[in-house]
Amino acid sequence: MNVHLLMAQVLAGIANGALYFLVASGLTLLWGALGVVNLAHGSFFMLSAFSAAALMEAWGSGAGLALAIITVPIGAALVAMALERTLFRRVQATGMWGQLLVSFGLVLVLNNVARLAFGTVSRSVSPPALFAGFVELFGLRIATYQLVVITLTVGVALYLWYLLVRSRTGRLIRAAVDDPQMLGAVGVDVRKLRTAVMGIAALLAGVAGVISVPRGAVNLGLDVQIVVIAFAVIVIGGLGAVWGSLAAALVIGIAEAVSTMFIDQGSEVVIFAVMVLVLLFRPTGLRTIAGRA
Amino acid sequence: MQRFDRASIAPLALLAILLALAPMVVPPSSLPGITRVLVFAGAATSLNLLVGATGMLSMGQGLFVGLGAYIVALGTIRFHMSLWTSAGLAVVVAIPLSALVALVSLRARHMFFGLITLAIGQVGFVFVSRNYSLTGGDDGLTGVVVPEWLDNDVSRHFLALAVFVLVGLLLLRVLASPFGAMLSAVRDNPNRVASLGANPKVFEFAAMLLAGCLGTVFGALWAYTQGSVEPSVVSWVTSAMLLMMVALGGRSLFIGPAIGAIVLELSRTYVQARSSNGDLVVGSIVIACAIFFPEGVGVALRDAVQRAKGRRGARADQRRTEGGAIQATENVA
Repeated sequence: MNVHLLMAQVLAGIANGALYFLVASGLTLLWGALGVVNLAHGSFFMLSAFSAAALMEAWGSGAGLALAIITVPIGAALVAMALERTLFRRVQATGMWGQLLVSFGLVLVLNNVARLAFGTVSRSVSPPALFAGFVELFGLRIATYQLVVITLTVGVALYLWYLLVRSRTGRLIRAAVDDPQMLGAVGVDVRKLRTAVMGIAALLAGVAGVISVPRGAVNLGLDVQIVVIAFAVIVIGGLGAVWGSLAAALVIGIAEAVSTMFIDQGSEVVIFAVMVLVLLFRPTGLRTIAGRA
Repeated sequence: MQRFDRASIAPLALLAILLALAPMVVPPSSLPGITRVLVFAGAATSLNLLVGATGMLSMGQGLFVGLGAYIVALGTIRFHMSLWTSAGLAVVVAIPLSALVALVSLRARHMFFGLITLAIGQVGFVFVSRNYSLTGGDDGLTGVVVPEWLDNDVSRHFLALAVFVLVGLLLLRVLASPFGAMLSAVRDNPNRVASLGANPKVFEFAAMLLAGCLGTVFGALWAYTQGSVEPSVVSWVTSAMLLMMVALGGRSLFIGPAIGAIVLELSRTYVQARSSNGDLVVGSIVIACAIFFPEGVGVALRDAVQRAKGRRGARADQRRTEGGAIQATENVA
């Protein structure tokens, strides 16, 4: 076996896992802390990827990417918050079933909107010249783009850590993970918190969507593909556990990338194999809020 | 608790009569669409054995529908089996498969259980869609061989109707049995069931076996009525559609999933024939139903019927007592 090839695959897996973490971390907070199951989370990712691809085609890949990374996630967050206030809030009282129905309907609607706005042809935009090359590091050739993805994800993870540990919103979110009823009872407006977390989650999905564009093949199947992977990450990492989902996303990303060295096709199966294996030994995931799964 | 008497069979019978009249009412070209609604209604009703009766959120029913469809397609096309042999073989294969799925997925509960069943279903989908030599891969299999008596739309429709009614009666009977009572006990409070000396997992396991086999039956029916199978039957799309039919129609009602299937599948067929943006309309319908009828269209329908009955009864009361019975009914409403 070629050690260099293995290392390259591991790195590609880490870069993919970083994307999965960005998508799953918001979803796990939203579900674990505030009880919102949002199947349409992957649609935010897909719409962001399409918007970024369109911007990069219109403005050139450098300027387009710079513009997209600033505007698209914010746009995704605003859309998500509007949807939370108009749709999700109405079905909150009816529990999980209303949310499943609403978000499934949203998956269909947003997919159709994407098809109308961006067409059915899958898009590939090459990364800006600055990120297209390779760097030599410890005798390994590493794609600059992968390094950028990993760096950006580390940055977002640090921001998330700061948000959760230091800010007031973060304290409230952590309180909601522990005991949502008590949080409401002491006078915190849990509904507003829900809207805010929905926004943050969509922001993270938006970032992931934008930086996934140079990976290639932005297509209409991305929404479900990524949300299924994100749910697998949540299941493995444990509900409501941001750092559990980081570990799970990296495990999944690496397992998926390394498996392509041994099997030709069907690397998705590896994700689910990992998921089933973890759950056989730990039915509530690596880290979770005991009893609330 | 579900009972097996005239009142509980009546909605099923009414639906069956309406669907039996369909070949005389609708234009012949849209009859296959109605037949497909029937197949979906049956598959959703079998899924509701898990979702509504036992409280298990299965997202992998498509695996069994696909299993039935593919075994029948493979059996008749490649191995020249007859209708009954291939359908029987499908059910026989479904037993160990659903046992395996149950063994793995029953490790977890609620949404996590659902996500594991979804994952297992996707593994099946990848297996089917990549395996070109056996299952035809993405292209699927076309040209399911049907016996001569089944070679027209009307007889296919009545075959589907017959299977739907038979399975519906079977399920109603099962739900009315002591076993069915145990299933609803497991749904309402598994801990209490355990403390009373029964193992809730055994009942969940049995429910999964039965639902898996019945899902396979409707998969076989799918292959016979559609004439072709494709990998999307196995994928999450089918599982999610079936689950949405259950939720949309009302999981607490036996006839609910069938109503959900009619609403969802008929509107989809209708819109798709006229425009390419069917998802936009169907998605909007799903969202609207979730907001206006959170417990399901079927439940809202039943309440409306009961209110109408109550009002008629109240009017009779009023004639007798001149009291405020209408007021009372309207307060309840």
